[in-house]
Amino acid sequence: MSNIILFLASVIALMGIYALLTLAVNLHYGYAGLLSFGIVGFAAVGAYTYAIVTRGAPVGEDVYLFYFNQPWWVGFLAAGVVTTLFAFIIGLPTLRVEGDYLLIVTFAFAEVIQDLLSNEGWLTNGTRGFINIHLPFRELIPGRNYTLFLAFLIVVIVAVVYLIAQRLGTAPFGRTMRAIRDNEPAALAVGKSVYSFKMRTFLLGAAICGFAGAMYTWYMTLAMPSIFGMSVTFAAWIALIVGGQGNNKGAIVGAIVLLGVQQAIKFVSLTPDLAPIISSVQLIMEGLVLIIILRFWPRGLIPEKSPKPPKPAITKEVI
Amino acid sequence: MSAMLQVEGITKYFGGLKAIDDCTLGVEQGSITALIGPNGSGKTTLFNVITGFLKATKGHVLFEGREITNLPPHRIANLGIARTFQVSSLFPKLTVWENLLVAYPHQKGESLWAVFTGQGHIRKQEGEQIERANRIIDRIGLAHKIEEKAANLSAPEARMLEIGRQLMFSPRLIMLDEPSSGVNPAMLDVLANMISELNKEGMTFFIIGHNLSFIMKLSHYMHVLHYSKLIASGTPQVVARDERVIEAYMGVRQ
Amino acid sequence: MQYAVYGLLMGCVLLLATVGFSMIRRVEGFLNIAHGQMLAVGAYSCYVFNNLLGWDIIPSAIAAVLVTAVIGYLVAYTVFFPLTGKPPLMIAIASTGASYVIQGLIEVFFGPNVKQYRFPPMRAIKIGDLSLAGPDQIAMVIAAAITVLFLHFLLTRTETGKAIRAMAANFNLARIRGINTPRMRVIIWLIASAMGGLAGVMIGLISRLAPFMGFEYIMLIMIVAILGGLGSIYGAMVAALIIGLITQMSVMVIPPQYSQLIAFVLIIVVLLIRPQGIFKEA
Repeated sequence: MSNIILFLASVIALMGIYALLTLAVNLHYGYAGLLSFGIVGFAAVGAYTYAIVTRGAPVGEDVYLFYFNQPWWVGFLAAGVVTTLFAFIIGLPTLRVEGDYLLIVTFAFAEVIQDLLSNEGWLTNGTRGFINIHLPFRELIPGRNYTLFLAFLIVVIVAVVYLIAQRLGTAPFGRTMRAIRDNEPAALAVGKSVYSFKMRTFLLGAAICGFAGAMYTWYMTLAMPSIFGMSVTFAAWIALIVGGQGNNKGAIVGAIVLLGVQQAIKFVSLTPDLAPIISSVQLIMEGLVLIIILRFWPRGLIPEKSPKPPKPAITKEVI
Repeated sequence: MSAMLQVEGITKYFGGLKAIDDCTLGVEQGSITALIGPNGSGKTTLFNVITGFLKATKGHVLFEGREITNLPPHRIANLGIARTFQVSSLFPKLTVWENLLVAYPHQKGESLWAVFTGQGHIRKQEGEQIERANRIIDRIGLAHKIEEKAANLSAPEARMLEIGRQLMFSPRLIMLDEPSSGVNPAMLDVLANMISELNKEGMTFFIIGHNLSFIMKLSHYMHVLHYSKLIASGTPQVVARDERVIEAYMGVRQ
Repeated sequence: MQYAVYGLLMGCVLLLATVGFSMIRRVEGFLNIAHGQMLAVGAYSCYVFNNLLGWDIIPSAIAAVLVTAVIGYLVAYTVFFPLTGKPPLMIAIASTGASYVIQGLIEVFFGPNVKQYRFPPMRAIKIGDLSLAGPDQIAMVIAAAITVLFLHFLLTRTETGKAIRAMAANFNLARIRGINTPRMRVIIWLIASAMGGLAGVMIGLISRLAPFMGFEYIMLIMIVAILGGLGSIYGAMVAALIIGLITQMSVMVIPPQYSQLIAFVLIIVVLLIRPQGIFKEA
């Protein structure tokens, strides 16, 4: 029985991490209209920042040169800060650029990050990566119960980020973002610094990805280049589209559904004959599910209802 | 005597095409100045250059003595110049009310940090905005459509909303690009009255006009653009009798 | 010098792959991530004919190109055509789904290991001390050149080509003007997929086959497409050769693992200076 609970907790933890990534995609695309396909790149930066900041000295065949041995919360904060810096540097040239171009450039950014992670052993320990990641409160919660704690922690963080995203949406910030999405020249004519709004949204989304990346290392207890591939970015986008683009609830629902489907497929293909090709079958089924959903439920599961400010009491005054 | 808006020697090339040729003109404070000329003369292009949507190839634009050439459009709006577009440029998915509220400048609620703090501040500022929006919505006569999505408005209503929205950030100069297009004759009077009243309250207008009768009645001063060149400037009466102007229009008007 | 030759070969591969990608981008309006898989399909089809059926390399290559054309069209028919008119982002994501399916199928049928054609390595032709290129490689360059010429001829001299260009410029207008757009769409998908397939065959010759090669190349394809100005066919050609040469020849000065980084930095620089790419989206 407890095995099932632990398993569920672990699934929930992963769902939570993907929910964060999907919320970030919603910030980038749903709020700012940015085709941001470098999500996994920001997560990778956050993850490795956390790993390096909390790392102890190299052992055995490790080749990395930098480690700071800090407590987990320093690493966590650092993950957010460093990722935001990266996002700022990437954003400077790319946010001025249109739609498809931004897609390709952000996509390329993530690929390059993954390459660098594999190659720059002096910083990242190369393809071996970092194992034995320093986990928050690990000493306090020994044994397998830690998974439960991690799931709980992640869910709390998802809730916090969700509330932040919603608040932003209902605040004047959200109104201005919707205006910018609706009609950018008009927004400029009204005096809004469109670039500044886009950049701030981009940075916030990237920071969330950075934190999510750090949490990913908690979940995996390691950080390796191979887990930060483009499939993660695609998964976040697929989750958003499936859940209903443009709204935060949909983002979370989409992440849950996507991961749920992935886990379900894992179960279905568990017959021993299929063992060697399980991952391939999974891939095929994911692709098929995606195609089918896009075909028959193009608006996603939760249709767009972007956060709107509460109906103001002004209606009385006007009439 | 320097004008409120001074355009000096503005030239604009699109590749090899000269859209504006060494244009120099002024808009006096407190006036209603018109910019007329046959289609394709470069009037909207000139507006776009003045308001920062296009970069000038050569020349300067000064507003209240201050150089604003090639500033980004949102900076120019913040300096006090409002503009409308030839096709009413609203935020279609936002309601009429939101269209107005969004236009208020320097909203504290637009900062990322305001999400966490300053609920009270935001509410207070929104209160000021709301009062302003209330007055404007009455003025443009759209109070009954307050919750309507802007996409659902008729063309004249859209025009009024666009003007109303630009009023929200208290500009000192309003540049209207063909405000009369898409507006039926009954509404034209309403529009003309509104412009007159605002002008009497101190607002300066620079209007691109295509409906000559509308624009001639309304404006104090006119500039005529013909195929990228400024060919005449003066009061409506003077301009109407100018040979070059007549020739320019005769050639175009069927 | 070897690097220059290899760069040229890579450029040819990218050229064939990206022109097809750009064609689809122009006419269908979306970024077809699954186009990378056409390379994989072409490569693996050639493998089937060459290694499993025992054919010679040239008939294998031709058959592979034809098979890829058909498969590419079928994918379009089943996945993309039903989504016509939907936002391009959605279709692009659907193409990601299609890519997953194709890669999964390749993994299932061919296994995860790297493969090579049954094709004897040919000795390079020497000029003095320099070994230039093997006759197979020269044949590849010639094949690429012929394809380009054929395409150019098609686009500029034939009715079909003019129709394609009209559709690329303005789909609806072309339809109103009576161009048989459904039939043209079929032709465009066949040509684009065939070119992708040919590129894949060539990769099999100069490099190796791996199930993830579709995703492996799609990023380079997109970078080339940007550099050439999204949707400009001739721009894509020029950009392909440039990127091919630069990424391979930079190996002489910079360690090889940075070649992708070079391409990335290159587009950032280009985008900063000239946001539309080398050629305008003409």
